[in-house]
Amino acid sequence: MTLRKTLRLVRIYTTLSFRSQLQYKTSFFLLTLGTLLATGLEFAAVYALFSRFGSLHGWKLPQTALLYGCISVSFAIAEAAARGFDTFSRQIKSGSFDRILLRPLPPAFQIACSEIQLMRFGRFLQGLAVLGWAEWKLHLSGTALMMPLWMVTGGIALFYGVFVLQATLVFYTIETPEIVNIFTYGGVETAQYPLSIYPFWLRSIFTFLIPLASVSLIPARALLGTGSASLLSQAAPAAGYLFLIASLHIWKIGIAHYTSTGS
Amino acid sequence: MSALIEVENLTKTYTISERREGTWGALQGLIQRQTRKAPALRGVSFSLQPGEMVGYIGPNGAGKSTTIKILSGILVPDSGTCQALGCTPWRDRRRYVQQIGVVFGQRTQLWWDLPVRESFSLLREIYQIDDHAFRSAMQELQSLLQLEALLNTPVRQLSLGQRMRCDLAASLLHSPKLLFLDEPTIGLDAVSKLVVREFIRTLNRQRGVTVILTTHDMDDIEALCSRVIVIAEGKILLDGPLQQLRSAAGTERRLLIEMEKPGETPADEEARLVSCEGNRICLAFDPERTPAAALIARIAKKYAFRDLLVQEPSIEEVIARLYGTYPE
Amino acid sequence: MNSTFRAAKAVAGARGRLLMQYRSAALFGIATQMFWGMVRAAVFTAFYQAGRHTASLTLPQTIAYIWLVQATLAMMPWRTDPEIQEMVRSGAISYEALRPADLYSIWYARALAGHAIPTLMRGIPLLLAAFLLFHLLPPHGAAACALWLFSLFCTLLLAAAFTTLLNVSLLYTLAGDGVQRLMPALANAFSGMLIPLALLPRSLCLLLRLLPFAGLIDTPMRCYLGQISEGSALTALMLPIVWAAALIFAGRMLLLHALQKMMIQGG
Repeated sequence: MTLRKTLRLVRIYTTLSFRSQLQYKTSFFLLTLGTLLATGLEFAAVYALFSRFGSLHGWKLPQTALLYGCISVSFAIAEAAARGFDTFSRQIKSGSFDRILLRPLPPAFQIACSEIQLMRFGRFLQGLAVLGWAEWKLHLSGTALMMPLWMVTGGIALFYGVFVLQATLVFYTIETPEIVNIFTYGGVETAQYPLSIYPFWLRSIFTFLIPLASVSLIPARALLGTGSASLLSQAAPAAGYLFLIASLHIWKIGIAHYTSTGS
Repeated sequence: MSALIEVENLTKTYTISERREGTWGALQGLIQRQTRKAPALRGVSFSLQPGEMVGYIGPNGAGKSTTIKILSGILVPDSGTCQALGCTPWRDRRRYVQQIGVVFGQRTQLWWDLPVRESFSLLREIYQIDDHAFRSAMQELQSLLQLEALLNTPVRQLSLGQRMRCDLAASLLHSPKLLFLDEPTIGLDAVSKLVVREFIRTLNRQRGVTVILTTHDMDDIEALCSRVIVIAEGKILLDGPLQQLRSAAGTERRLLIEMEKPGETPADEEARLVSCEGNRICLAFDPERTPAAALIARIAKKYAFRDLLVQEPSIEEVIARLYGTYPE
Repeated sequence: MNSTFRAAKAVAGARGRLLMQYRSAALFGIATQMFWGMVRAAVFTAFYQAGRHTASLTLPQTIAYIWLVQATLAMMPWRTDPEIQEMVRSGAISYEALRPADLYSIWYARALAGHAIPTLMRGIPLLLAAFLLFHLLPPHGAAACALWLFSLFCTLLLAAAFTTLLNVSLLYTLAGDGVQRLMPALANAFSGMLIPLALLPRSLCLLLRLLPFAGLIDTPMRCYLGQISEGSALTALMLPIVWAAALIFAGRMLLLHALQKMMIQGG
């Protein structure tokens, strides 16, 4: 398939997905408002903690907000775009994954395109507002603004990879076990704060198993001048992309398992 | 002419993990699973010529859907070979599925919240159908399935029969040479069933599409298939013309009668009494020896009844009888 | 009234048995909640290390608070009952309305069971684990413990009233949608789940304690930590009960109104 045709398909899938969701306009509006309120209050709680305690391991609120905003935006985009993987258990149970296998396109591509969820727009707005505020407070400008963008794209790839792995697990377990929330929502919650505050084992999980540190803590330190600013630290968000590529390979093992067991 | 599908000695065994009782069992299950082998196919072989229309029938759990899944490339068999349209389905899956169509009677492949037309245009992109081919396919399908009025309706608002017509069209937009139909008439009203059958017949006769049909409805088979393959317990029990199935299974039909007065049992030398519950009588007869109309006329002369119904034996019954004649 | 009570009891019992079947899911749920607890404990520990001390809660108290929140998370009125949702969607609700038992009581009983059983199933093991593994601070004396248990019972009454209100809101398409989206967000923040109310500025804390949400988390916590003296206990515990009664009354009225409208318009 040529790149042009691929992009065309993505565009058509996306338009259809949006159009079918926009049939429920009020619901969309209210949900956006609801998530905006919920996530807004979440950040208000962070604000309250900082005004009570002053700082967190040497991180002030604006610096933490930079992490918080990047992770929030990344996750919101990944969650919206990876909706098909997030709800993959439903597709296996209803048999619609069989239909996907019957079509002449890569399954991962079809699932990725099948649903782009607008409903999580509220979290995206909140993250964007927090990020913008942090950038303003930290007086970031010019090329310094590139780093948060680079962190966000790395974060999107990373979280996307986590959703792909979660879906791969469904080939073996059918249901999505509640425990995988640790890596999705848990990842967001932990990486919204500097990962250095956590116990060693937790830090290790989110550094080596799921390289969250490399899309948040490491490049943020390089940017803020509080840690190594080596080229490696600046390139760290690339680990998110590597993670996604690895996930897609593991996903293929899952498909092979599915087509040989026919669960 | 060379075969379109050549299936040889397919076998498939599922491994089913058993759940253990209680919390402790669930924990044990995490470490070591208790499994059980469930053979689904035990050496299935057949071949299909281009343009054939075959009914693939058997009771639930006989291996029908396993075969269909393997033939459509979404399941890998344990052993055996399959060549279809020059591909091994599960190995060249993407190239292969470009050339086949699959309809599942119980599930739709259309996008639930969107008008039918949108689903069609997306499928057109997925299968990379060129403008000309798409337009002519649409035109033909529209007139054969009377789709004009449905195209702008969201799928969720369609009746089951309307949806099935649209699903059929959706599976045929890319002009597949081979079509799998899994229970295409299940749950449909009588009129829709006729439309669907008529359409499948036209498709096979005029466009030469090869069709494999699984169904529980004996009328579907009667109306459409000249050849049937009966599968039971993972093995092919019978493969031949429809007449062969009939003669193998016997042709007996049932006549259900609701009598005016309870306790009265009609008797006829050509019919056998099967059951009698109050005023409901069930007779068995052989239509080759006495046509249903003649039998009914004779009974009507002698007895007063409220209602009657002639019943075809169900697939399950036919197969149960086949077991009688084809002991393993 | 007696027959309604019996019907409600039967419904609650059936629902309880159903929920008991998901034991292995509950195990994973407990593991997940332990993870969240550890993350949140680490965040607060790091904040306390900054050294600026606060009089309202000590670090061990805050950590106890976090574990208690994790243990009673099933009390949060986050979602509508999927069965009632399905009933409204399919229109079967009009048959429900025809039953001789009082619909509100049945729904309320379902909600009671829906909150109580997961809380017991997840909460008790989680608290045990927190005691053994994370040195959870025990209740501030026997009186505090008794007060805490009683206060959790009030929380249950209140939580079920919230959930039933959410369920009733399903009958109101537009406004209901808003209630279902916004109320959980408010409950999270205003109950003290996100951050102990005691750590907020004093005036905000006092204001939030007057709202119905505080009864979900803040009130039982204060009992556990012994921050409510026996003298002020009566007023502190009356508030959730009064709110529960008010929410029950509102839910009843709204359900009645919706059912009447449904009967006039024919569903």
